[in-house]
Amino acid sequence: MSKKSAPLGIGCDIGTMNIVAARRQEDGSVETSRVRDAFLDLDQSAKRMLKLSGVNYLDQGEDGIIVVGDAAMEMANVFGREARRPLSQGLISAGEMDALEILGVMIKNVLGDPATEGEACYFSVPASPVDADRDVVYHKGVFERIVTECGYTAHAGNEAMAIIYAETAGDGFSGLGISFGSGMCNLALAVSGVEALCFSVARGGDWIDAGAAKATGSTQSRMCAMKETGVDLLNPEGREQEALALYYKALIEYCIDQTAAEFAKIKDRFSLPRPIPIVVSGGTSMAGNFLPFFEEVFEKKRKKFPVEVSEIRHASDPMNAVARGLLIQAMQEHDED
Amino acid sequence: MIEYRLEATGDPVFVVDLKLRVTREVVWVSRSDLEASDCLRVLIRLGKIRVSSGARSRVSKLPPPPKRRLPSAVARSRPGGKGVAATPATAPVTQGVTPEEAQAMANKAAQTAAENAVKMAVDALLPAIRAIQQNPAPAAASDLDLRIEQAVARALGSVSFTGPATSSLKPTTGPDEPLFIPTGIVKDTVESLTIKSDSSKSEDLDGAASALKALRTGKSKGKK
Repeated sequence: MSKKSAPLGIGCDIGTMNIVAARRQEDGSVETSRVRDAFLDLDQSAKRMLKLSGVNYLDQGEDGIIVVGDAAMEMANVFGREARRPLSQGLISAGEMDALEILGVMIKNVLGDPATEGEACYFSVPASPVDADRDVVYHKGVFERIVTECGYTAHAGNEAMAIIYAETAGDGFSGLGISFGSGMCNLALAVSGVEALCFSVARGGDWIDAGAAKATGSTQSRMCAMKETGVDLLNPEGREQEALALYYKALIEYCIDQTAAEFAKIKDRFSLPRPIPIVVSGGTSMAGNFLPFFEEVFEKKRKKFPVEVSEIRHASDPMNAVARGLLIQAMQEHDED
Repeated sequence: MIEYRLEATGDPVFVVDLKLRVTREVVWVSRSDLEASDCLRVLIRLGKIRVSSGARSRVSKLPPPPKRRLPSAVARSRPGGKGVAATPATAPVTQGVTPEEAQAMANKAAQTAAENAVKMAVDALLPAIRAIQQNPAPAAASDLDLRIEQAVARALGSVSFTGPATSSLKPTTGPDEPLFIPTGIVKDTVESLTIKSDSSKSEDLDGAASALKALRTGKSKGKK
């Protein structure tokens, strides 16, 4: 309860790859805290090694130990294992009871204690995917419970709409926000801050990794590492990078096609007074030359795209744009007090 | 919505109160229908019908193969008159409601019915007992026993033993199934993790927050 003079409210982006929290500080800056959304269960025998290397872990007694966050990814490489992910394709699965406690620990750590009792916390929830039979009700309920148990007043906020709030103030909160995540891609079309269209597709960075790995006979984790260390989508080198670029292109085309299809369902209900921007964000959009690559793919589809687009731009802080958009909404809760 | 899969173990059977014919081909019924149907429960107990739980596959089925028009002579030659080959029996289902569980459900329904009947019997008996208490006739103990016996017989005579109504077994929470979210996910003592923190300027954020506030205020004023 030490942050009394800082503005109240916190935003928390719960993604398949990262959990990011954003909070305003006393000096007016925005502090973002991030933890990798992954864990690794190991035997008690690994405890000594972890102690020596200074890695934090959760001791589960006879059930072994659990390494959480970035360390889990590093340790997975050391032990030749795959790190476990509490979320799959953007959503928590109802059978993953083990993951709940881990998620509780991670979220508690990134959120910290509330500045006041019942401080507003907006957490991200994906829209229902149009191409998979999964609903977000359980997912939303679990995180609502976790955030509440952390001492906050929980509010669910749509992931792609958060990008609209964070990035399109200059456009009157009108635009198409696309969050290229690890598990899925979330899309929202807003007009003057009003959500007109909101959906997700169950494809994202993991889908790219899996597809490229299958095409080249490589592993998914190797593809992920290659993607994160830097791949130039406009100038891919070698078969593996070419495969990655191919799957990136397929994902972008898929998102554009799905947007056109979903928009066709609602086009009679409202009109867009002027061209709107497309704002792309998310960890998967961090690949080298993603924006010109996106523009190149979009240009081929522009004629058939049902919405007039003024510009395509990258979010100012693609890794944290969702958390910042949620923070804006959380701050509004306290402004209204 | 939970649905149950029914299959006949042998010859086709007709569930009278559901007006449903169950053959070796899978038939789906809702939970409420399963619980409401006395006939179905009995048939399950007798082993005439196999029941299992599960969800209907939502994966779109492959389009049916084009129908091959058989020569009329071949079609007529088949037993049954329609020229349609018998559907092979489906594989036995290992998951779902077992006969023991079905038995337990039936027992529970019977117990509820019995409890309701007893309650009604007691309600019917009470006036008679009160009448006896208010008019204590100087009677012998044997006479008293006889009178109580007669009162019980009269009371029980007016009670019909019926099973519980369907509505009483229906979930009270409406058509949506309740969602179980466990509590106590976040422990009081949480180990600290290595968190990567970063600090950035917030001019954009301030601008966006003020613009959003102005937009919302404008909208709410507009509504007024």
